[in-house]
Amino acid sequence: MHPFILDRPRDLSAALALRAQAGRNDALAEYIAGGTDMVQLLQENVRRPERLVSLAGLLDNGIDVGPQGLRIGAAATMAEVAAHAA
Amino acid sequence: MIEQFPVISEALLNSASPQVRNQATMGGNLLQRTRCPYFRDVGYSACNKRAPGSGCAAIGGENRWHAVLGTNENCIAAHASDLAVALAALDAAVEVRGTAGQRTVPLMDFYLVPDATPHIETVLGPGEVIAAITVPATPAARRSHYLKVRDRASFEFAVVSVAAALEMDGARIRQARVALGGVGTKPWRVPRVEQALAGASLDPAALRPAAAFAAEGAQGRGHNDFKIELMQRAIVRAVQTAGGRA
Repeated sequence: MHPFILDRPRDLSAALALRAQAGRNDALAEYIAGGTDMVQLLQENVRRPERLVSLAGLLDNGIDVGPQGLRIGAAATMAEVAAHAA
Repeated sequence: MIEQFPVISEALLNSASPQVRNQATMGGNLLQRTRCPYFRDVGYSACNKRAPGSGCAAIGGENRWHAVLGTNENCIAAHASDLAVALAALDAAVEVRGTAGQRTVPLMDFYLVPDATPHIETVLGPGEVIAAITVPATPAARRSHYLKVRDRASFEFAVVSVAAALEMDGARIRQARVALGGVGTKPWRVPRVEQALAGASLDPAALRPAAAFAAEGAQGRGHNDFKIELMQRAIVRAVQTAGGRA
């Protein structure tokens, strides 16, 4: 694995700004959320970003069902959604 | 979820393992990278997704797992998400947030086919994230099914998968929505199949000619030729199962 700096911003706007600074260049910075794919990619050297910007705790994880339909926060886990009593 | 959006629940429960599902997020699921072994193994120098301009080792290599729809000479990697296929069939959208604010993108416009830039897989701009997923409530969502054909019964990606959602008119299909996984460079809707299913009964003999439209434009690369036949059969079974739901 290539060494990287882990950024853990306090809020989403700080995270968005950090990642936006790197522009299209994902060799400079990439996001990590649950990490189940990203950690594999890091271990296999498929991705070698200089910085990882953590989204942990910064995104909505709510699951709401209303007459219009379903709204799922991006940070909800697959298990939470699959078992949700909608 | 199981009653109102069975296709979502089934797609999720047939993905990965309980440990992974407890940790993996919905946004990350939609942004997972391809399982193409040439992308995943840096021992191969040619991969346009990993190293733009380096070529594609899969086209002349072992390509049993690869896509037959939406491919080109630059990339034949299949999109790996089961969830995205289910959401594609339900006309879901993603809320995208960036430094410039928020926008909503229909899921079918979110992913890109390889074109000349296989390493750019979505319309996300620099710094943008998926903030939420929205799915409209429809009668078809209740009568939906996710069929996943894979090499082993658990913890395996799809060889071919089908998400089907139906509105029925008695014993006949009024409107069908069908999306395919494991066969496209992105989650693949098949509008010609959907049109041909309208008015059909659930008899396999009536479904099979409609499913055949999925093969339009499909291109095998040798080892994955079988997917073109398999996906048609999978459509028939997925539509039958969805239609059989009360």
